[in-house]
Amino acid sequence: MSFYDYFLNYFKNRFSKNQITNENVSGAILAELVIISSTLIAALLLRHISIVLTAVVILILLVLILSNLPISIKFFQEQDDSIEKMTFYAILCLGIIVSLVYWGGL
Amino acid sequence: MILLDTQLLTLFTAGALIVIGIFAAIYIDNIIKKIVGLSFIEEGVNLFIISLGYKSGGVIPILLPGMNIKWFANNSAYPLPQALVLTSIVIGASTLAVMLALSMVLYKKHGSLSASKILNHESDMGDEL
Amino acid sequence: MNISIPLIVIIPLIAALFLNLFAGKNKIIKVLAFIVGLGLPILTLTTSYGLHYFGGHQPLALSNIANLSTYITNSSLYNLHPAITYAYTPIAKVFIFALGIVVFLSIFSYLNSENKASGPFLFMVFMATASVSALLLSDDLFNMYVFFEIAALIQTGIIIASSAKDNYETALKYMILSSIGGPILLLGITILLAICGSVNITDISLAISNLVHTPEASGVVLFAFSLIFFGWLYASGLPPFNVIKSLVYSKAEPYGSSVLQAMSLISLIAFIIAMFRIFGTLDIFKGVMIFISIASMILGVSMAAMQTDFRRMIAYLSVGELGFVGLGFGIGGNFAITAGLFQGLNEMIVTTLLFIGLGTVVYLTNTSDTRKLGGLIGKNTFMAIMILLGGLAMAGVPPFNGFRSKLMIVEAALNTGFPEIAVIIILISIATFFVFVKAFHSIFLKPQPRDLTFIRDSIPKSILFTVLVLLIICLILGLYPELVTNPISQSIGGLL
Repeated sequence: MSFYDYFLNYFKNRFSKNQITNENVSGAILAELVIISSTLIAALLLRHISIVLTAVVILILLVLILSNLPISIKFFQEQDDSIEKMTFYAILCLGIIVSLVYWGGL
Repeated sequence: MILLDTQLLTLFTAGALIVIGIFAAIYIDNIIKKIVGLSFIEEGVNLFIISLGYKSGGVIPILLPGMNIKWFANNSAYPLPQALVLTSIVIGASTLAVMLALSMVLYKKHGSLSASKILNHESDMGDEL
Repeated sequence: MNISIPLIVIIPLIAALFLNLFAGKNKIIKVLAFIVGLGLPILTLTTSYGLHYFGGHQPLALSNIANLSTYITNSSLYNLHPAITYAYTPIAKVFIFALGIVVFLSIFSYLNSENKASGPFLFMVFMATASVSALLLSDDLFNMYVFFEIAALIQTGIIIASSAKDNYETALKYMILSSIGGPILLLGITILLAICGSVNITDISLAISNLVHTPEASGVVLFAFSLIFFGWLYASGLPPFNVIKSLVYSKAEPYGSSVLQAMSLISLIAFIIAMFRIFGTLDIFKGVMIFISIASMILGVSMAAMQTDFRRMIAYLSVGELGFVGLGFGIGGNFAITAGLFQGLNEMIVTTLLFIGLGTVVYLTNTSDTRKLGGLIGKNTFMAIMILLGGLAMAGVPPFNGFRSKLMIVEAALNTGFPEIAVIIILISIATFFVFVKAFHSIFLKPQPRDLTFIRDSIPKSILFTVLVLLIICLILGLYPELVTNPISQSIGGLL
């Protein structure tokens, strides 16, 4: 089964009650490709810190990406307009930034 | 003799207020309570600012006639945080007013104050696709 | 002392007050808004560079007092800035001028397409101009925080003033997030005050450059940096605030959205310059900038691709493009930073073009859902072509301005040994192009649905004129980028 069919089926299962246009599916595929390729390329930037770290991070990313494959749709559902998700991610991000900058910069 | 440092205690209180506010922002569902919690963050920061200008045994930072300048320089409190915190309180009050006004409008519109009911709109694609 | 520097902030503030005062009198507010809107860019151009000390309290070092004892001249008090200082630099000139143009064109198209102008809305627009101009001019972190909070309230006001569905809900969500982001930023500023004893950026950066190498203080400096960084993310709408920012843009009226995105962009630039001056020497500064910029670009463009509402699509694209400015600072060096700031300027103009241009679609049909639209090219071909060209400018197609700035960033990335960043920029540009073409196709080119109804028949001439002017600016900046890159790089040279 091709990647496109896989995608289409996932879409249909999830949103079967409403119409799907080819524009939605092509947009989702583009988002999927952009996220996967850019994340992997961006991970290569870690080689300026340590090459072993880069290899480990890329392996972890590959496992994460392959195990959650229609990743753009999951991202889309997390990037929701609900206040709960927005505040949660804001606070989570605050925690990550503070700990990363504090212990990373020391 | 004060056993505990007043400034340190104030700083801890400020930190506690900020943490409580952040918890309220995530966990509390009622909008009015959420707004009260959020103003805790603001007040915690204000308390933090004002405690910076504290000086144990210090005097008000106004040079009165007859004061020794060297003594004054060593003992006066730092006035800048006091000036800043006033502005910050005013900003906090106006933000609070706008938020409460908005929650009044939303209560009239939806008949509920639950954030999960009135502030949770599914994104367009999940809704209609 | 240069008296016209504070006037850049004071005139829009006074105009805002008068507009609110005469809110009922349609003719007066239209004339007043037009005159002040036109006057602001002119004032920006005629003001000469320099510093303004409020109350005239300049640092002791500049006062030339004879016979000061050495224990004063040797202490750091000698160079301390006691007053709120406004610095009018070439960067401030370029961006406030561009903001003036954006605001004037937004007001112009608003006044001509609405029969009755709303005083409170114009009040909000001028307050917005004043607050973000002050953000760029101010050399004082607390003053920046005050105007930043005013800007947040104004943004809420612009959403409330719109007639979109769910605008009150969006406004409250924005306020809730703002009351997390704002105090955290203030906390960061206060920690800097605690360790440096001043809120003036020049004083702080001098103190920090000494403090950062001492093991006791470096932790505190890093903590302050992380808090201010978080506040900056909120101010500019980078992740995790990209969702709320794009929601806010899509809920406002088109004239409002164009002002809102200009506000976010200028707050981004004002705070990134302040952070660069204070924390630019930290090792982690560049890494964090690159990380958040790439995250913003990826999330922005991929979420834009999945939207069905074209206003939300443009909003996500504009939030994603903000990452380029951060990338310039992340790569570092005069050329890269200039490229990033130039890209920021281009983005501000192009996004204004798209918001106002695509606003005509809502004006004609009262819907922004791409699934319900189609065939609008028959309605006004000239507008459709201008919007297409604007989209090409955003995606970075020559000869437009977006191409120049993106090329500069790619060049900078390649020269400094980050080829990955160059690849990502090209990928993101291609995806932006795709998203734009998809939106353009579904609005203008695909067959018109039968149930599409028009509430108005034609587009006002003033909006056509506005979009044409913005397109010409894009073309001029694409052909003669030196007009802006020279002053920007001159300013950056002073900071490095």
